Amino acid sequence: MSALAFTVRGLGFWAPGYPDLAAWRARPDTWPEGQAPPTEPAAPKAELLPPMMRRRTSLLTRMAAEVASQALRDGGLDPAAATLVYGSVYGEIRTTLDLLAALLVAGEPLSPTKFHNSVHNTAAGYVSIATGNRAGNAALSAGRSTVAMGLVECAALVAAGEGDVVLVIAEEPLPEPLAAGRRWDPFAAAFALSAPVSCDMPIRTCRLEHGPGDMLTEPRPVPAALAASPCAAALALIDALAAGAPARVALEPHLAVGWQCTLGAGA
Amino acid sequence: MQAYPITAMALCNGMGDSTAAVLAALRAGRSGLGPCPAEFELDAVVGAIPTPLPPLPGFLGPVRDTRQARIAAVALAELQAPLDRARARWGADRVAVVLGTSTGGIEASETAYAHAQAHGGALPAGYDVELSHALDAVLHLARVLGGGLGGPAYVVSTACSSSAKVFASAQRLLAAGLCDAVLVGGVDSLCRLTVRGFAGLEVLSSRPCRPFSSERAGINIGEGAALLLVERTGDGPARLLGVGESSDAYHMTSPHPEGLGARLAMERALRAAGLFAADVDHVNAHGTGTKQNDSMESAAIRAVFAGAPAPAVVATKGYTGHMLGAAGATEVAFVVDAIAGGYLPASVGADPLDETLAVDVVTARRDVPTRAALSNSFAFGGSNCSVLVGGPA
Repeated sequence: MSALAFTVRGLGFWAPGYPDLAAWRARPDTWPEGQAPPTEPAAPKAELLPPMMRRRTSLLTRMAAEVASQALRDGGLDPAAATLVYGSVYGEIRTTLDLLAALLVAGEPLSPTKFHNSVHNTAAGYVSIATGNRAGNAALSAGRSTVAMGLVECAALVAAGEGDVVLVIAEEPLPEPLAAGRRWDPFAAAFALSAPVSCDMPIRTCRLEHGPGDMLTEPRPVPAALAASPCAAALALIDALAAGAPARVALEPHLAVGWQCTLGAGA
Repeated sequence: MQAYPITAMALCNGMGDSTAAVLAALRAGRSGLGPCPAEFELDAVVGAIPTPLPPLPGFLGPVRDTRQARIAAVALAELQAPLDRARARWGADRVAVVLGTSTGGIEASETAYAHAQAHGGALPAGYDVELSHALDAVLHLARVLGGGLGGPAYVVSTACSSSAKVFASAQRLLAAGLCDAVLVGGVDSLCRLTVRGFAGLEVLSSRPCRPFSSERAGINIGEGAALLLVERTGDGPARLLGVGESSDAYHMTSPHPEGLGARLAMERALRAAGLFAADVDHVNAHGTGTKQNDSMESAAIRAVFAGAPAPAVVATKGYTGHMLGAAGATEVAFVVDAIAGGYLPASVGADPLDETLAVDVVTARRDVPTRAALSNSFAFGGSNCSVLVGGPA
């Protein structure tokens, strides 16, 4: 089957109660009776975005900006030069719902800010402006395969010699009435990738493969509200990378045969 | 990057519901623009598919029968034979699907939300956010109607550059050996959110759009699909030579005034293909019909072609309106037909030209060959893409 190799140079993470990867890694695997996972802080700082710009953005864009800047810093990458690829299933769904509501008011013009903030590449636009980055960027969606397809796109960019690439996964909760009972908590994760070189730590060298879901590493437990996210595969991947041990992570756990990421694959 | 043949294509938009109808109109200089549906309550012109869209066939399982899905199905039906051939030749798991859309099924969500407001929060029967609204719903349809395509499948959604950028992804997937054929393209459906959203930005024209004309007064929204098959090897009327992508890093909706990002995208496409500006005979412009776009895009074209013969500039949104997430692939397909047919379509509405732009806009059809052409798409968020297409090897 096809296989593509890359090295993970940096990571970023944000979820309510877990403002960075260190906080996320320090979580307990089980919660004692009567104790719930933390929920504060409920919004990321997103200091990559200037305050005037940040004020206009959604939780989704702030989460994406936050984890992108963490991963860029962690990997020592140039924020103005890296290629950023954003993956999200529903994108700016909260802003989209606001527009659907406004459409019911006859004759009322739609807010231009809300309109341009509803596109799938909203975070891509704001982050590129904030960092002065003139590289191409992309915003993808592939349902429950969004994390897998994001890595496929990034691995192909790395293979094409496009330099450093950052995959940013971010998902907001689905608002009612559209959600019809589907519930998950927001989170974002970022993976800074580049072409493998021989002096890399072997554990950060990954291989992307397509195949049957046997021989997979058991993922670390995650809070149920995050496990329900259609991008939950990113949680298993970031946990495995942070643990620093060889592993094989399912990127499409909903499929019997799907994309996987093998960590510690060597160059 | 290596060049790959474009072996088949299918189109539907305001000019017609079949590739033959669309290309006949393009060759004859016949616009597909018309009045906006009354229920939109706007004095606007749109490019709506002129015929009723047939309901989806019943065997599609969970795929929902939205306008977006119907438009995609019309184009997919025309590609049946080439997709059958590609599957047989490469294997179903070696055929990838990379599609651009900006609207997804928002049109279905508009109706569903209004229904929920009127019925105590209850969604209408048949609506499901995952299968009706989500950007990737169109992937299920393409994979099933394509006969079970099993390669990587994803949607690129970067507003108005979506279905230009899919060509960059396709070329990289092929180069990396992840697949041997890619179904690429774009699908967008007319909806209130985009039409009224652009009205809110005050760029919508109440008359047919006139890119590069001194008489321009804004854009029209269009809908439709353009699907193309790009293969590792094969016979086709044209080849995908290279794609250039860039960001303006300037503003969410206004392009960089000197067209810096547009220029970078065209230069990167040339570099990716190992060609020079002098190798390019025409540019299919983004050409939306706004003064801002005309001014920055012509500045970018002049800069890229400084020292090379001035290319012919073709603007085709006067035929289709701005098809947003489907615009990029539609215009790549127009370039393919121009190369195959040895002609340059008239830029309908461009006459009288805005002479201050100083680019060679094609106002009447020219019967001349094209060796290679750039097709430009620019979007919200400062997302730019230029696709370089050439004749067969």
